[in-house]
Amino acid sequence: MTFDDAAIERLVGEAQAGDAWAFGRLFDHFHLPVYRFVASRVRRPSDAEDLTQLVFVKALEALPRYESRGIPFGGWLFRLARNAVIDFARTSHEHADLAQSVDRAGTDAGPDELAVTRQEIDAVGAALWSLTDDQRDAIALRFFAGLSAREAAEVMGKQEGTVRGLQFRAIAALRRQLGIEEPEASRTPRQLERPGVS
Amino acid sequence: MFQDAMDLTDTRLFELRTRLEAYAEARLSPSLETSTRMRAYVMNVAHRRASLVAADTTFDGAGASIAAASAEPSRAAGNGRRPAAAALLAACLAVAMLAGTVSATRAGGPLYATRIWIEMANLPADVVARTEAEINRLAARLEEAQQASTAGDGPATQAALAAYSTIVIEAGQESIGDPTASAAIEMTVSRHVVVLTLMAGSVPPTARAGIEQALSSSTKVLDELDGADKHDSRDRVVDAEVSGETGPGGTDSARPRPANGNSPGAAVEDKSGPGKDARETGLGARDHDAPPPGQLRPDGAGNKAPGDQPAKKPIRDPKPARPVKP
Repeated sequence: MTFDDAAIERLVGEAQAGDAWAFGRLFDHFHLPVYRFVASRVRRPSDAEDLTQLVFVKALEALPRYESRGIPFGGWLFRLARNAVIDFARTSHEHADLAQSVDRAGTDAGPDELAVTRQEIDAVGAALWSLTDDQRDAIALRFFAGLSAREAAEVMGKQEGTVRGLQFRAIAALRRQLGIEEPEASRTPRQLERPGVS
Repeated sequence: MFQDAMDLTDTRLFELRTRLEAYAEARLSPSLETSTRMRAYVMNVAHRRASLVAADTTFDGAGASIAAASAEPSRAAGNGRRPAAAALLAACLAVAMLAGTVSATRAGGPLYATRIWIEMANLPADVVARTEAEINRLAARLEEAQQASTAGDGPATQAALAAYSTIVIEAGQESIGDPTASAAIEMTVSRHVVVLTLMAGSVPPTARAGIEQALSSSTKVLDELDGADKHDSRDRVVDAEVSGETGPGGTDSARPRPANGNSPGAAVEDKSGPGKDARETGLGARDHDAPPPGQLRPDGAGNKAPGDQPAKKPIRDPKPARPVKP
């Protein structure tokens, strides 16, 4: 289910007028990216579920005060989500629930393939957790939530250029952590001139 | 929003993007159950808020009209037609406010809880009359739940069933100690359990928790009444044994019975008994002259053991019979 910006604004208007059905459509549209963003910042799926619910309830409560002054509803919603995650991190003492997260990697693959997949996924998770909070936010908002650099910047309260910088450094760090070789095109001219140097 | 997302055609990011997508799919995606649970929770809040917004709109509209009407007389002082219009407007407002209030006190409405509380506060003090009122309240809640469920209104169904659960617990606790009231509650709740079980398959998903709660509360009340009944029965048997009045009915005979000797359930079917309401609740079949359980009438009238069987003679006769003089 995809909506363009105009359709979203129309649904927001209807939800502001007390139309629960319209808010349900907004939930259906946004709950996956919001959940993914939240889940990328907390370790337990149960916390991600609670926080996602909280974000939408807060959105419902704040909806009468929402005005689309250049900030689209999605950006406003993710700002609520980011604040909820920050509050949660401040007030809770998280413990990694590895068993629970590993169990969620179940697929139809065979045991060997499954083990490799799990290792790769665990490696990505570990690499993400090695980033700074801002870098992780930038990756989560852009990759997992699908926001543009401008929207991510609005959510994070930073300049768009700053967010692009954070994203660039995060990608470099992830590549390094995951052993993904930097492609030829992105190498500096000096590196390309010395192909024999490993 | 998603058009300007990270450049998906950038081949330099292909491998990293693939791995991040796999990670997001495996670890950051809610299961269907999780999504359903979250949606149900959020939509429940949304429906409640929608009801509040609707009620606010009604009352705001009424308030604005009242303000307009109150300002009207000062302007209408020199105009003969204005007072009539103001009276008409006031009448319309009164009707609108009444309609708004009635709407708000419906199941799921913002004033529904207030209505339930007022009902509870106005219950009579007498146990039997109170039980009868509680039975009527239970029937009303059940009917509201059925109507809301038929209309597909989940929040209203949920509200009515939650109120039912509260009332049934109250009614059960209040009736313990009075055999007639207990029997009436037991009979009513047993009937309602059947209706609730039938409803369980068709209620809106948001009201499932409500119907489970109502069934659970009803079953608990029935269990408590059953336990109290058995306890009462044991006490009566002990009392009867002490006084030498144990009837042939055994422990079951200690159960309260209406004056016609039938079981409490039979009082409902008895067309020749008291009025309709009393028959429905089973309260009218009570023998008001009957002594409390375990006691005998001082005049000896009606001191039969239950089951219309003649009472046994005392086992021990304190004095031997004297020969009758000719």
